[in-house]
Amino acid sequence: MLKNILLITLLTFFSSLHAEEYQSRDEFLQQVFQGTPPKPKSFWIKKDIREKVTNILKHKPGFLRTRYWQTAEQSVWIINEIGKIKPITVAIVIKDNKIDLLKVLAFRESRGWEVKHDFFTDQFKNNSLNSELNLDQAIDGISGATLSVRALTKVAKLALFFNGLMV
Amino acid sequence: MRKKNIFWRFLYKLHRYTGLVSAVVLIVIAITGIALNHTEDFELDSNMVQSPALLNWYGIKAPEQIISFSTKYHWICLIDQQLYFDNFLLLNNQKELIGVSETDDFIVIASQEALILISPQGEFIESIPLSNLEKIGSGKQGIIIQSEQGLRYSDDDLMTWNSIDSNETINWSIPSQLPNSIAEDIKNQFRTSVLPLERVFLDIHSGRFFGLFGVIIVDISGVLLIILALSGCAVWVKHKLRTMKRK
Repeated sequence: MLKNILLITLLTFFSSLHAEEYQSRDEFLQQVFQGTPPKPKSFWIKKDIREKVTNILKHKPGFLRTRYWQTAEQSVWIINEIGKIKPITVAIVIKDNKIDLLKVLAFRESRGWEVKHDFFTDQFKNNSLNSELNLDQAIDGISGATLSVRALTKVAKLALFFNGLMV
Repeated sequence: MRKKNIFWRFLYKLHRYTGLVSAVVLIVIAITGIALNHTEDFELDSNMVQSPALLNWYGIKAPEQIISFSTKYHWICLIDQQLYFDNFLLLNNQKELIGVSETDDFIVIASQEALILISPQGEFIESIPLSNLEKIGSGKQGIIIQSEQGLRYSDDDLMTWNSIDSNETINWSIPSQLPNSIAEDIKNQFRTSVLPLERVFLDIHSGRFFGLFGVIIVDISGVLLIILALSGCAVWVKHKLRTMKRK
């Protein structure tokens, strides 16, 4: 009886940490490139940039390679970053070294999902990276979603940084 | 007059004994409440319970089934949703493991929803979302996957996939029996990685840690706290009025 009660509370706790995918990667790419996405390219986090990436993320990068899709007008980066416990999948469209669109494709945390809304992600539009690797326009936070806001801000900086290296 | 005195004497006693009876429970609730208010500062959500006694109390056991595949020098295993490279936890929240293949540069782990690339040293490189994977293996053209789209291979470091002729001979990845030493180590790691301290504090705070009995005790303590507050206020008001009258 006692074990059952404890197990039920434990299961309830973990089931609240459900994953939610708002849009698949392929659907997003089809939408951005109007049905004809280019072939993906790979971007390796080599030793020479690892320190800067660590500075942006405030922790060592958890991956060695990411992929991006690039045409003459724009590039698209899809990057995962952990909010509190689980990764948030974020897509960033960059035009002329500025963010044209930032969209949360999947949110797996139990709290902080407010960051998926346009009222928040629209703040990233036209944002670019300054020489100190910070966004040149401040992002207003959401109370109760601090870690998710931080994760999205880091991902935005990272995509702009990677994109800057590709130009 | 006498009836009034009896009432106030009862109220004093009620206040005193209610305080005494509920003190221990209220102290526990207060301490756990303060701790839970600072979950992130105390890292209660990221620190997992290691004590075998507490894990037994919660009835947490490691699953018996471990799905494992061997590479030339390493083991890749999935226990529940945790993916291990030998006995090192690589990733959480992974779906069914389908197989493992390798090239000189990569170890490629196929799960139901993605291909996970790691370096031969076990560093995570990239997760490539691919739906409905059925098999992974190797043939003349390197790593080959089978999914609803048929057989496919990659000639650009697994960036894109092309169809191939189904007549090619393919060595499909099949599960292998994990050595006992690694299996025991992984089971132990699994067991000590599922119960956050925050959960224990929450359960002590609500009384659920002790089952239904604990919940009832905490409920009663809540009622006692209300009585304590009301009787305390009444006694204070009475004293205040008496003092004012004397003046």
